[in-house]
Amino acid sequence: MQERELLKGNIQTLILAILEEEPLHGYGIARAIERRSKAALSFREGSIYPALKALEREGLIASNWETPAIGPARKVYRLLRKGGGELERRKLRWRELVDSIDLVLGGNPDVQPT
Amino acid sequence: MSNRHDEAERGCAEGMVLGYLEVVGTTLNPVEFAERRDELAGHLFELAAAHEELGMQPTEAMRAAIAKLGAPRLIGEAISGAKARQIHLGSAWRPVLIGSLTSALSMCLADQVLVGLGYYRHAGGWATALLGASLGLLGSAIVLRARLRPWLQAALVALLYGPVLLQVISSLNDGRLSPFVWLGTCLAFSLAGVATAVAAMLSARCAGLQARTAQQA
Repeated sequence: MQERELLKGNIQTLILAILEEEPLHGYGIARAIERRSKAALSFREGSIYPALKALEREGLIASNWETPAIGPARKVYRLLRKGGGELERRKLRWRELVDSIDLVLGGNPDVQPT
Repeated sequence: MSNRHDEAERGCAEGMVLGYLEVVGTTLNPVEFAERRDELAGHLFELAAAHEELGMQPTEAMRAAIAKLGAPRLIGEAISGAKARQIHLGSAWRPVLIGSLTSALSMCLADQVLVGLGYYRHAGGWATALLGASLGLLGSAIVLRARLRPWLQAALVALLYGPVLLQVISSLNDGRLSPFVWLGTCLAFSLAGVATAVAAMLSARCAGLQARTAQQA
């Protein structure tokens, strides 16, 4: 449950990271997250769509409908330049957060054991 | 026999998708729903196809796909929440304009009919058209923003029209109207409100479908 909440707060960052690699549609993004996390991140895939909407609204990604040779049309999302910059900022913030939490979990390195 | 069974299974799975989308649609405005409908349906069908490859029957696969996508109401509400923070009426200017024009026309028509029937003496003319257009803008905005069932939206706009216009007509025609005239006037302008709501809803649906078709092309 806690993992799901943590993921929910970071789903936009994950989407940006996936789209950095290649433009994808919603289903493709869900599969890419699953693949890259080795299926460790479990989430309701519908939550991708509100996140995509928000990212599009902020001008970080753009979308267009594409019709493949086989199968129905798909709405494909791609990362914009502004989205690339935002992704870098979010990665940095995430690493700072992880480092800070690591410091707390691992004890204070400045305090020498007696 | 097997083919017939497969067809029945597919039909049932498609029915599940329609049911799912219907619930999503109750939480979104028509423009937003037109934008999202095919995207969500595509996701469900792809998930179901992946489950079928693992050996599931179509209905079983679709049930698993729906569970994986999540509760339709929650998804719809989350999407509409994301949408609500932006000024989306700008992107739906056409339905708003069509609603406003319908309102002006239907109000002028109601005005003329009521004068013709002798309900009151003076038709509003340009003032009615202008008031109708303004109320139409408001009514269309309500229809596009409200997350209610279509008939409830139409009723809401009708409620806005009837009493407001009755008040205006009453004051323009020197005060009091008989109960019979009051009821007829209220009903006529409420119908103008319903026409406005229906025009805004239909044009919003068409605008959404056209946009999608254009993007596909």
